[in-house]
Amino acid sequence: MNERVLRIVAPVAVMALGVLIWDLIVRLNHIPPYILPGPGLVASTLVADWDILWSSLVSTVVTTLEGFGLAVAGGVGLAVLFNQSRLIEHSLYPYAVILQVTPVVAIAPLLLIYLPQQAAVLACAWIVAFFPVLANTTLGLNSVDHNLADLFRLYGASRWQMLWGLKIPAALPQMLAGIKIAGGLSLIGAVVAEIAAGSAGAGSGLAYRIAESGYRLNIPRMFAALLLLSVAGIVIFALLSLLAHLALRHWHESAMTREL
Amino acid sequence: MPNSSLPLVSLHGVSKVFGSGTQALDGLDLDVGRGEFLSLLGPSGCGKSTALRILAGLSEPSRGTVTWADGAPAGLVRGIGFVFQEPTLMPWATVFDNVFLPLKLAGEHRSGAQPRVMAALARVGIVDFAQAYPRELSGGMRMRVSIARALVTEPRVLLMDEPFAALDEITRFKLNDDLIALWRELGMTVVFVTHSVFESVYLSQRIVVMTSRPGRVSSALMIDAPNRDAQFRTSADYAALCRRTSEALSRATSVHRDAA
Repeated sequence: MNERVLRIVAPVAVMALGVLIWDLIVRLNHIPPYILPGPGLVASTLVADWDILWSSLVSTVVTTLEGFGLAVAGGVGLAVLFNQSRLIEHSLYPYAVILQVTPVVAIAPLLLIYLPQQAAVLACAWIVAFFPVLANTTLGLNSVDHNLADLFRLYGASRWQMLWGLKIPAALPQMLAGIKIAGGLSLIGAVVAEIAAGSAGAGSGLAYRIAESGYRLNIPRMFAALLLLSVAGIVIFALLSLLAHLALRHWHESAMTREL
Repeated sequence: MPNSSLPLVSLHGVSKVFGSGTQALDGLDLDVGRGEFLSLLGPSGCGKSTALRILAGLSEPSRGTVTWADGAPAGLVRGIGFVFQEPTLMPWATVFDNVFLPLKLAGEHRSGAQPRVMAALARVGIVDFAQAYPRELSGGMRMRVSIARALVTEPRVLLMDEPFAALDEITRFKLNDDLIALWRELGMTVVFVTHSVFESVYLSQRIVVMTSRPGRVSSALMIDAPNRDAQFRTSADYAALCRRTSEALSRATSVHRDAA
């Protein structure tokens, strides 16, 4: 069997096996659905509750993408700003770190007090996602080949040419690595904030559905919502990996397949 | 043939002390004649690369002066081509775009610059690789791209910092021959930094031997040989010149040892 087929078939087989074992455990032990629903029931709940779950999914994904977009813009923007001015870097970088190391679960309830709910959820998604973009882009911008920088100086490059022609492309691999991490984290941030908000009794996202279904002991719907969240995370990761691959495929080692 | 008229550029009493306290150059006097092929020969760490960077205006002397015959301020001299020890190419750009870079930084348009870029590629024999990315090329080919990039601005002076040190012997010999042909054809001045006695004798009209730590001129040798080809490389004259140069180099290093 060749490598490509194996890469698809092997994980699918593992999943099929897992689902089969799950189903057998539920059936053989006669576990009631309010404790552990079988895979069949989760699937049928997904179909039956599709309307409500779909609108929740859209709500969560929109928040995630907004938070992600702001994180990328903020992270790259700040990194470029830091790179241009030492003073700004030294003044602001510690606060970016503080924002990052303070657990977002603890910040979310506070944000919900001071901000409208939608804005608070968005802020959480942004806070967790922007730091990896900032840190990685900063690293990338600072690791420009010194000789190439000298070459640009020799030919009289302006600050702007130095940034667009040299620093940004050189930082692209690290920047994209940060962006890839940020995609997953913005979903986590959105979910954390929704759960915090959900327990306050408002909201419509998938995480809110999970919390709400939990209170109602609607365990199959919890599983269905969880499944959708997981799929959303996978799709985001896959799209960002594809983007990184397309951007780097001609020149960066990470995007190369090597024949031995 | 160093012209009898004013040297193209002169270093007078140039010293360079780095922030770390390392003294790279101490009172270096050096005249570079118009159209000559000059090698700076010395052991590693003798400051020959530093001297080259000062000529290029990439580094400022701590003491002493750099005087260009045409009165151009050293840091802003146009008409300098620089070839680093590494090919120093932008990995994200094609061979064409790498060679186009100096013209792009000077504000030229791609279409207008294309004939000159292609001509530079043709001079070093890599026209067919214009659309390739650096990683697809061998070390020798990358160095050719680097030389094409230095030639594209039609510089008066080509500064080369041990450009062939990392290449295998066959490739190095070929590039040596091509470099001599280019120098003859274009009538430019070449300052070539190397630690190889054989390479310096084969290429240069004049060799300046440097002492190390701090770097200054130990002696200068004229290499009078009209033809530089395979025959010269295996001739008795060449062997004799290499022996003389070798002796000059060991004198330069032993003076340093006695002093230390």
